[in-house]
This record gives sequence, structure tokens and C-alpha cells, in this order.
Amino acid sequence: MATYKELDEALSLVENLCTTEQVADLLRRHKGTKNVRISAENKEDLVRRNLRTAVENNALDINEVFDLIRSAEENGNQHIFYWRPSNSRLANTLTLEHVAEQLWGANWHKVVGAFPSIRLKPDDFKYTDLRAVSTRKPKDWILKIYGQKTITRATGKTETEAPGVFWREFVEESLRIVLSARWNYPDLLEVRVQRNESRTRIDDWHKQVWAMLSPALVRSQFTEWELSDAMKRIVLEAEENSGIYEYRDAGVLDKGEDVAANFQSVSDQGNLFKSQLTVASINGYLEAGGSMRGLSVKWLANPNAEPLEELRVLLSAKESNEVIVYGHCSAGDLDYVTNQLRAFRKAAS
Amino acid sequence: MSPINLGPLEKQHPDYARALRSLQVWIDDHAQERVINPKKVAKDVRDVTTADLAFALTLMLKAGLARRVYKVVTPAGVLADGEFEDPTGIPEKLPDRFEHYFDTSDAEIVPMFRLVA
Repeated sequence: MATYKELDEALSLVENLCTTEQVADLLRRHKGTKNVRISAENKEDLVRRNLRTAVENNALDINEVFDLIRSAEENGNQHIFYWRPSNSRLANTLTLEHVAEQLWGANWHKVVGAFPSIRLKPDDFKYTDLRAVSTRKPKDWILKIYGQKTITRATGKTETEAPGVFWREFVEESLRIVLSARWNYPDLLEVRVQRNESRTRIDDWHKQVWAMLSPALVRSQFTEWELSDAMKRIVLEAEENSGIYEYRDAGVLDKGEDVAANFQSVSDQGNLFKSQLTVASINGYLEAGGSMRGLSVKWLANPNAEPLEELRVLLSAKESNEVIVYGHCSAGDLDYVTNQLRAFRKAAS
Repeated sequence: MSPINLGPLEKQHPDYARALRSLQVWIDDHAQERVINPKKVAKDVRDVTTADLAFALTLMLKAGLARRVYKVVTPAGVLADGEFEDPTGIPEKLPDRFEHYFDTSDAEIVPMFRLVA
């Protein structure tokens, strides 16, 4: 496999993105195989020595290492922009094969066969992966893009040179960017962009994904999948769904969009639903024709099904089709949230 | 029922038994909260002086039942997500509850106690 050439980069990513436990779990699955050693003094040894030795001796498949990286960087800690194809005919054409052929022509099998590509292209973006998401959802695919940019960051240090004259320290840093487009059959295209303190960067990266998709599909073929009605239902039906979710922060606009009010629990572990006065206020706005502008929802963990871990998201803080997923999570848990939004949105229509 | 048991500390420090008992009641009543904000406890617990309560929390730290963490207050006056072992580890910018980043150099930093048990 061509990607063996990028083993150093792959191991470096594993070391940065994955926990010691995740790497040890992978090695444990091959316990008893020759050249597989689990115990290590530290994470560096576990990855650089144990994992490398196992891969180089074919004791485990390099794809298992890629799966670790995929799991760590593709789900969560990102903005998701939901887009819906403007008609069902378009939706039906959005197969992995169709998209690959539009992007890379008749020889797309060769290009896709060489994925994933790990190495970054300095100050540029490149396609790094295109694959089916899972056997459970065979019509879903994910296209991944890596980018690299050198940014200048103020360290906060200042030094006075003379009265009224001072130096501010800036450092250059390499920013690794992970973007993706996920087709969530049968009706949603998710453009996923990593979180960043700069909203300008988020918007630029969102545009970048569309630009790189453009040989296959363009933005004008899609409409924003708005979450306003779903949010309204999530709030109004919180009592009967108290075992499924809680909400902590809510922004509301009155009917005429003359008044904006934000409700936030003081504690970061708070639940607005515990305050009857707050619930009555928010519901009052909504029942009088108002709308939501930002809703932070915690989906509660379910011991028997997804989500396996609690997952906090912020709905529509900026764009009406945007969700921010705070922490890292599993692909299944993130799909659970999308499916919940589908259900709330459908019931509202 | 909270797994935190301050009973042994009460026996070791009888002068602070009342503060420790009040703290135990507060922890049991707020089983979901794994991070204790001393300001919030002081507001809720009226029958003990702030100084005694602070000492009771320090006893918890020394006994290894809690560790000190730091949280940042957003410009809206609520706690930002994330906690830090050391105030020097707080990033220059943090997101508020609606993902607007603010400068932490101007922000209030609140010491808190994360329950260990």
C-alpha cells in the first residue's frame, strides 16, 4: 500500500490525536500475535515502538491505524452545516462512485485506492480520503480534505522598550485543518469544519469544501436544512423528553425580531429546564410566534443504545443550518443527533 | 447518595464538624455536580461562616477527596466550558456559550473543587 510511505506521519497523528488507551486497545486486539507488544513506558514508546513494530511486521493492518485516526478526527469538535439536495433525482445520483468519477475522471479507482493520504500540502488543501462510511449505511460516504496554513498568533507577551513604546510578541504556527463532506443518505449533505476561534476561518473553510466538491456538486443544487422548527419543538417538548435531552443555553427572538434574549445557566453543568420561570419565559416567546436563535442541547447517554456517551451540541448559533459539536464523539453518536434533528424537524412540518 | 463521605474528616476535625456536615448535605443534594463552586455553596449554606466553609473545603483537598481546578467566567457572567489545573494553562481566548470567543486576560477566573471520589 502506497500509504506505507507515510507511516511516520500516520504515527505522529496517532500520537497527537489518540489516547494511550485507544492505541493499547488496538494492540490488545492482536494480543498473542508475533511482534505485538502492549506494555510500554509511555505513549511515545507505545506508538513509536510497539505500534510501528506491529505495522512494519504486518502483525496488524495499516488500515486499522487509519481507522484510529479517522475516528479521532472526523467526528466532533467541529461545525456541521446541513444541506439538502433540491430534488430527489439529485439525491439519488449522489453515490460514492458518481462523486469520485466527477472529481477524478475514469481513473478514480486508482486515486481512491491510494487513500488515505496523510502528508499535508504546505499552505494548501488536498483531498485525502473518500470512502463508504460503514456497512450499516452502505450508501453514505465521506470525503476528507486536509489543509495546512501558517498563522501568526499573538502570545500576549509585551515588552516596554521606552516610555510609550512597546513590543508585542507574535509567533508563527502551523495550523492543521481537517474538513469533510459527509453524504448522509437519503437526504443530507453535511459539510464539517473543525472548530476555531476565528469565524472568518470557519466561513472560509466551509467555502473551501464547496469549492473542492464543485466538480461533482455545487451549492446552488442544495438548500439550507434549517433547524428553527426542530429547535422550537425540542424546547416545547422538553418535559416529555426529559430522559433524552436537556438544554442549558437558549437564545430567543420575539415575533417581530425586535427583542433578543439569551438564557444561560450560571453553572456549565446547569439545565435551564429546572427553572420553571425560565421555561415559562422561553415558551412564552415561542408560543407568541417567536423563534430560537441558538440552543445548547445535551443529549443524554443511553446505556443500551446510542448515544453511548452524553453529547453536547449548539444548534443554529450563527447559521440556521449549523450545529457545533463540542467534544470528540463516535460516528454513531453523531448520527444519532442528526437523526433526532430529522425526527424533530419532520414532526414540526 | 454521593460516594463522598466526610464522616472521617468530621472525627479528625471536630471544630469543623458542623461545616463539614453542611458541606456533606450540600454535596448529597447536588449529586449531579462534580465541581463545587465555593461561592455557590456559601450562598446555599447559611448556618456556617464562610471561613469555616473554606477550611472544610481545604480539608477535603488535603484528604484527597477533591482537587482544585480553575474555571473562567464569560462576559455574560456564566461559567465557560472547560476547567484548568493551573491558571497559567488557560488559553488566551475561550468560547462563550454561543461560540463567540472572548479574551480571557480580562475575564474573572474562579477557583473550584472537583470531587475526586
